[in-house]
Formats: sequence, structure tokens, C-alpha cells
Amino acid sequence: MLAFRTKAAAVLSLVLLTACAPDITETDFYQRHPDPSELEPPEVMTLAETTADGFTLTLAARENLHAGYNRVLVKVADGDAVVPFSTVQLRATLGDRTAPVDMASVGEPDEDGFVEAGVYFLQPKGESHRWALELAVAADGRTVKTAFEVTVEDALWMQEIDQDGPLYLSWVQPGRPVTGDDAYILALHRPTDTGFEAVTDAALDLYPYMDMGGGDGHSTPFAAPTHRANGIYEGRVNFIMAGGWDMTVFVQRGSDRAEVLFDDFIVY
Amino acid sequence: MSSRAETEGRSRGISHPYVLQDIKVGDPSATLGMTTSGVQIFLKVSIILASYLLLASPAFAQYTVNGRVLDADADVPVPLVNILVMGTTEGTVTDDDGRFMLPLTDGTYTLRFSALGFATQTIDVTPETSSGNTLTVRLKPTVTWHDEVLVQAHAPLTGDLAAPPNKLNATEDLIDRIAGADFLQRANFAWEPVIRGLSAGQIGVVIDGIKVVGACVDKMDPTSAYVEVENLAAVELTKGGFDLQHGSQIGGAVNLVTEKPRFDRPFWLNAEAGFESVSALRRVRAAGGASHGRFSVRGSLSYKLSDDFAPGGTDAIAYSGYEKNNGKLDLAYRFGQGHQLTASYLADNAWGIGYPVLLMDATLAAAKIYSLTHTFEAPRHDGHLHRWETRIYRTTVDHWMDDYSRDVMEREVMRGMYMPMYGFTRTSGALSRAELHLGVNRVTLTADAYRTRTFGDMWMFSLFPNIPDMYLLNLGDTDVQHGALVADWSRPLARGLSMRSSVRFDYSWRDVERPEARAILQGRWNTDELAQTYAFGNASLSLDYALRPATRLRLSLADVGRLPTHVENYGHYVYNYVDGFFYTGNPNLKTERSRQIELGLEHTTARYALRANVYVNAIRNYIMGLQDDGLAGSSTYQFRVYTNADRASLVGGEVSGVLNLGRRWQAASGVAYVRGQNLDLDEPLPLMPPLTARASVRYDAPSAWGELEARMAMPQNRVARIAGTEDGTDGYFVLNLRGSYDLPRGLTLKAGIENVLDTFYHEHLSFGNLPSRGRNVYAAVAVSI
Repeated sequence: MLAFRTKAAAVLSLVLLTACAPDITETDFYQRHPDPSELEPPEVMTLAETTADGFTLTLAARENLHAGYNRVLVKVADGDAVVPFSTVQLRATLGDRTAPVDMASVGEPDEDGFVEAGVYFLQPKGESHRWALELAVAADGRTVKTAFEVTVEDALWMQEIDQDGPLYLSWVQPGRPVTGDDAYILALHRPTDTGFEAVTDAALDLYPYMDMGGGDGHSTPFAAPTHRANGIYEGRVNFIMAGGWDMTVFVQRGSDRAEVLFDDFIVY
Repeated sequence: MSSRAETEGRSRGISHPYVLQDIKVGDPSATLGMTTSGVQIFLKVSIILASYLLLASPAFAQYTVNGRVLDADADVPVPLVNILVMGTTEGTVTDDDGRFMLPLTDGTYTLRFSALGFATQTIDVTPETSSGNTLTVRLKPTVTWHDEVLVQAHAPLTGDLAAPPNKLNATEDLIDRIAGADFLQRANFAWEPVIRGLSAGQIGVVIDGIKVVGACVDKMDPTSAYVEVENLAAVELTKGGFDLQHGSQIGGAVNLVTEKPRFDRPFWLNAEAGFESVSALRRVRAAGGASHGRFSVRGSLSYKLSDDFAPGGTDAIAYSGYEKNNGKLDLAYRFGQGHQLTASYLADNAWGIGYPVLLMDATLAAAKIYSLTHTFEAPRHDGHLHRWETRIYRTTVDHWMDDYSRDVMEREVMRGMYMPMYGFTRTSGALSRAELHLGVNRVTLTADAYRTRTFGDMWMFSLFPNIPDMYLLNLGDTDVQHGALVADWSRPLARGLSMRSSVRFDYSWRDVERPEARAILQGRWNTDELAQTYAFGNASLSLDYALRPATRLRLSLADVGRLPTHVENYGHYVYNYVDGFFYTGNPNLKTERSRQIELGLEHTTARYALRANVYVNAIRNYIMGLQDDGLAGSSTYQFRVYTNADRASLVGGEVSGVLNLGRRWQAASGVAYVRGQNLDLDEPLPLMPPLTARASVRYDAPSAWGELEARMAMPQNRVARIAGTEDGTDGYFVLNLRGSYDLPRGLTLKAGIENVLDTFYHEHLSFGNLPSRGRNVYAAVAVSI
């Protein structure tokens, strides 16, 4: 039996010693092959915080405020406890003009107590601007108000068109593009003396394109946006790859056809 | 591969272990008036031994081995069987009654029995220690149901063109010799089997019945790559959709039967080292085993290192080398009456695999197969249940590719970016098969279930500063759960007429789980529901009629289906190197179905054997790729989506023959042709091999073997232009020369020259018109202990 064990052990050892895969964890492949699960959404950052009537009112966002449509986060807290509130009012002004706000999409608080609201920071292209924000929240039978200024950076998420005067085309959704099929929403506004009015008579078309460098590139499936309400146009885009994309939007109004480029945004 | 006196009466290809009581070897005691008294025996033997020592020295005892060779299926004598004593020049031939006498001296001998129309068998005999006086050998006819070919890796199959070289270099060498079998060639490594023009999901390739799912979405890791020669006991290859036991398939099945632990020898060891000039391939391999009582262990290992290979008349092709190791370990334990447990582990690792016609190379391809098998062999085969085998298994395959060693700025496609890819599969399954003998009825029942999870992705890192990193999810965690029940029944119907029928029911559920992948496919197919369930039946029937004892006619019918692969269902932008398109999966694909009819003729005499088949397949729901309309506006890249064509057809045939030119010489030849047509598109099916032919002359002596072989292919200009982007291929003619010589002390020398004329050519089924290997001078030395 000993002989058998010895021989069997020899056979076993031989196999185990030799049939091993090389370690490639130190190779370029592993070093440059990131784990896609690491691409998590950005953290929430506080834009302003004020204390009034015992409540702490927080305005936050997941990215720096930029020209065009922004999702801002509002929370009311009493110490560490989140206080439910019944209404929220938001007003953003730049000079004499008041920005459109999207309070219709205010929903239930998230797990951190934030509710979301939409603001269109429609401003001339090319430079940052200081906007005045007024926030009023009714909570626990009281109304808390605060006002402060924020800097809104110029960004590709809003483009300016000249069609019988300036038009502002805002990228509304997806806020953080990811691969897969999703609603693609744009908003079209025209400035007035005191604010902005929705443009509802445009026909929009798209051309998404991924520049892969070296003259190569490709598009992705999409459906052209159509007008839904209040200057909101909704289509669909199925981003098939994560990476840098360009989106060309064609805006047709009457015989005027303008071409707008949202270039080099990242799809996660 | 000696010591296997009995093979199964069926065509499963795994021999029963040596059964001592069935081996009766004549010994000199019969002439010595031996009595039943132990004392008398002792005295007489002592006297005889003393006499020998004193008087007869240095002469050896002379024995006569008497035996009879029978047809294992028909139980009738087989005349003109060549019996060779391996390692000597001695041998004999059976008479008309299948009987033979062979004088032998002391020692242990390996006898090789070969005859036209039968699988060659080798048996170890020790004349002086065995009792009785008749050795009964049952040869398994190679005339089998459907167009099955059972090729034993280390025993030439006399009577068939597929007879392998005495010593194989690679598993592919074995399959490639079968008429109607070809390979998709992607590199100097891991070719993918093709049967009658069908491949991938259309044929079933398993290892000991185990489903192994490749992890590379571009199919660079075919299952056949995981079984090295030292572990290959036999290849069971069925052409057409008639064998339903190895998966849902319409084109054929390949079961790579691996070697298992042996109980007949306490210790054995084989080792070989070889060199091939065409790619400076250096290889070593060894297999060994030990047994004691109820325990036996077998282990093997091999290592290959290949530089770039050179096509005929040209310099070596860059990025065509590879490095590989393979190990297998089996532990077996016998218990009770006819029960055996076998635990097996197989690991195959290949790295630095160059793919010269692709954009990238394989960093590492690693496969592991774990299995635990319970086998029950009815000890006397006198009950209804003859054999019952149940296997549970787990396979893992990981595959990494990248192009870090390439000059990515110099290429035209995907210029200026690195594209590392990764994929894995994890498969768990169980397989149980029982063989029943119910009077004249032979019934095999099989239950097969497995679950496979797969993932595949690719990063793209551009060298252009303004291009962000890109990420492509090719397979977002697909889940395939599959079960099948198979019944196979054969019986004689009348004198000379017998039938075999198989039915199979498949049930398969699959879905894709990763949210990003779901979102993409949901948008592409405009549905939230991506899960798909397939349930379908398959049936085949074969009738075999012995027109005359030497002539058999065969009619086979089948109505079978095959499942879409997980890539065909859920793949996303999977690059197809055959046509350069990116493919998107289609969850709504139907099963591909085929109605088949095949006529076969086999005529076997002691002088020659002839086999011919013609077949017609009417395919419905043929799965192919067509332009993806959902990607309007794409420019640089071309996209396709999998879809079903209503109708396609396959028509073809094979003819092969073997002619005995004397006791040691044999001529063999074979021709195969298949014509595939997509009837919807009115164009040829893609990847159809041209008419191919082989002819060879062999010399087979006990200690030497040689073969001069010619391989040729006609031009193939029937190519797919719509569903593929094939181009035509020129014909070729290649000469090969092989031989081996057995030396004393268990040494064997093997050498050969492939592509003697150094012809530059490429197979029609090679990716990117990758040229085949040029003149390859190889040599190896093997030792057996």
C-alpha cells in the first residue's frame, strides 16, 4: 500500500505542479482593465445650507450647476432628523429674467431625505454667471425661506440657436447617460423680457455618434424627439457603448433648420 | 492502450476493463499431464523447472496461444484478422472459423488484432501464467449506426480512412482525418470542429458528455482544445443530426472520450518529447498511473511552446505562437459489485496565443473541468441493466485577450486603441445514462441537465487624447438553464434488418441579468421581457439492412432542432472575425430545425472496404446575421443582428475506401463534398468546405509504421456574399509523410514531414485567409514503462 501511495502521490504532485496557469494579474491587462462596477454615480455635494426657525435647509446637487437643465436636491432637517415638508418653491433669476423651474417632477424623498426639482439655468453661452436662488419650504406647519447666490458654469448641456432671435436648447434627460435604452428629453425655450417661454412648434431630429479616434466611429439606435408639452421634446436613445459620444440635434422651425452639437459627453 | 480484451457491444467507445476470466491462453501444462493435486503439481513443476534449468538452458519455454476472433455484435467468426505481436515481427492470421494459433515464449506480450471493418484492438497476454486454452477476442465492427465514426486515439481503425497515425501530435490530427470533418482555423492553435459544413451551435462538442461552454465571445476557445493527446482515448463523431445523446444539434456530435484510471497494471508511465520545425514547437507530455486493489489513480501533464509558424515558402507569420499546458488527474475507487466512483480534474491553460489575422491575441485561456462519476457495470451482464453512469460536473472557462503587443496606430480598423477583452463561463450539470438490454431490444436512457452563466466585455483605451475610454458589454451575465431527456432504442426487425430510433426532448430557459445589458437589448427589441423558453422534440430513425453478408445498406431519417447559443440570443456587438460585422443577439430567435435523410452503403471484404453516404438536409429557421436596421446612420462599422432565415439546405456525400495490398500494406482514400444553400437569400451558406479528398498508402508492421498521404481540396467559389463576406479559395495539394518505429525497452521514435512540398495554401475555413503551415519536419521520442 505504501508503494501505491507513493506512486499515487508522485502522479498527483506532478499534475498539480505543472498544470498551473500563469499569473497575469501583474500584466498590462489587469492594470488597465478597470472594474466597471467602480463607475458609481457621483456623490451628492452641498451647494448651500442655512438654518432658520430651528430647521436646517440644504440645497445640493450631484454635480456642479451648469447652463441648461439641472436637478437640484432639497432637504429639511431638524438636527439629524429629516423633516417631511409639504411644498417647495424655487425661484432662480439672472438679471431681470426668471428661469423656468420644473416642480412637477418633485417626488418622494430619497433615502437621505432629499427631494429633487429641476431648474433651467438659461444664460448666454461662453461664460459663467451668478444666479440668485430663492427657496421656500413648508414643513411642520412652518415655512422656511432662504436666498443665496450660486455660480452656474457654461456647459455643453445647453446650446444656443439663432432662429429669429436666440433659442436655448437644454438637454434634460438622461442626466447621467448610461448604456441602454432610455428616454431622451430636450427642452426648447425662447427668452422674453422677464423670463423664457416654451417653443412648441419645432421638429427635432438626432444623430448620436461615437468618435473612436483614427477616423472611426459609429452611431446608435435612436428615435427622434417629438413635442410632449411646454417645450419638452421626448425621443429615445439606446447608447450601446460606454464612452465619449456626440449628439447632433437638428431643429427645424418652418424653413429654418439649425444644427446643434452636444459634443464629447460621457456615457457610463 | 493494451489489455483491453473486450469492448462494449455498443458503440460508446469506452472499452470494458480487461476481464481475466474471458481470456483463455493455452499453456504447456496441458501437455504435461497436470493433475489436480497441488503437491503433484508442485513436484512436477519443480522437476520440469529443474530439467529446464539443467538440460534446456538457455532455451525458453514454448507456449501456444490458441484463440478465436468473433464479431462483437453478430457473435460470428471473423476470418483474415491480422494478429501481430507488438514489438516483434511475429504474427498470424485467423482462419475461416476465426481461429488462430500463435507460438510464444515466456513473457508478457501485446497482441494487436486488426481487420477491415473492425476497430483494432490490443490485448496483453502472459502465456505462462494464464490458464485454459482459448483466447476469445471480440472485435467491434466499425460499421455502425448513422454515419458514426469511433476513432480510438492510439489504435488505428483498420477499414476506415480515419485510421490515425500510430502516434498523434494533436487531437485535431485525429478528427481531421474523418471524411466530412473539417476545422475552422483561426490561428496556429485551437481549431474548431466543423461537420459537413456546420459548426458552433449547430454541432455538439462535449468531453465525456460534459458540456463546456467557451468564454470567448469570438469563439477563440473551442472545447476540442482542452483534450490533449495523452488524455484522449477516443473520438466519437456522428455526422448529421442522428445522435441525440450529446446535445441538441443538427449537424453532428463530437464526444471526446478521455482516458481513465486503469486497474490492470500496478504502475505505468508514458512520456514523450517532440519538436516541430514549422514553428519551433517544443513539447513534452507524460501520463502515468498506479493501482492497488480497489484504488487507481491516473495523471497526465503536457507542455507546449510554439514560436510563430511559417506558411509554405514564406517567412514566419508574426503573432502566431503560443504556450500551453494541460493536466488531468483521475482517482477511481471500485466498490460493491460493479460499482466505481471516479473523481476527475482537468486543467488547460494557454497563454500568449497569437491570432495573426485578428486585431488581438489571447493573454490567457484557462479552463477547468471537475467531475465525479458513478459507474455501474452489471458484473455478468445477465440482467436488464447493463451499465448505468451518472456524472456531476462543474466547468469554468476564463478567457482574456488584448492587443498590447500590437502596433495599434498602424492598423486600419480600431486604430489607435487598445482593446482588452475578458469573458468567463461557469457551467454546472449532471448527466445520467442507463443502458438496458431487454431481450433483443437495446435501450439507452439519458437525462442531461446543466446551467451556464456567462459574461463578456471589452474596454477600448484610445491613444488619441480627446477620446475617452470606451466600454462594451458583450454578454451581460446570461443565464441558461437546460434539461433534456433522451431515449435510444435499437432492435433487429427481421433477418438482416435492424433499426435504431432516438427521441429527445429539450427544455431550455435563458435570460440576461445585468441591468446595462438588459437595457440595451430591451431598447433594441422594444420589449421588457428578454427571458426566452424553448421546448422542443427531436427524433431520428435508422434502418440497417444486410443485403449480403458483406454489404449493408442504411437509411437514416431525422427531424431535429438546435437551440440558439447564448451569444445568438443575448450577445451585444460581438465582433465576428469571419465577416467583420458586429453582431447583436436576438432573444426572439426560433430553434433551428433540420429534416434529414441519409443513404449509406458499406461493403466490406477481407480485401477491401468501401463506405459511401449521401444526404440531404432541409433546414428551417436557419440562424444567420443580417444588416441591423436599428443602427441607421452607422458608417465606419458594420452591424448585424441574428435572425432566422426560413429555409436553407445541405446536400452532400462522402466516399471512403480501404484496400489491402498485402499483409503489411494498405491503401486508403476518401472524398467529401457538401453544398449548402440559403434558399431565402438564394446564395450559398457561409463557411462551406470545398470538395476535399485524401489518399494514402500505409505500411504497418509490428514495430514500424509509415504513411504517405496526399490531401487536396478543390477551389471553393460558392461563397456567401449577403449573409457573409466570404471570398473564393483556390484549391491545393499537399503531401505528408509520417512514420514511427518501436525500439526495445519501450522506446518509440516518431518522425514525419507534413506539407513535404512546402506548398503555400489556405483552407477555405481559415479566418482571414490565414495560410496553413508550410513544410513541417517533426520528430519525437516516446518511452513507456
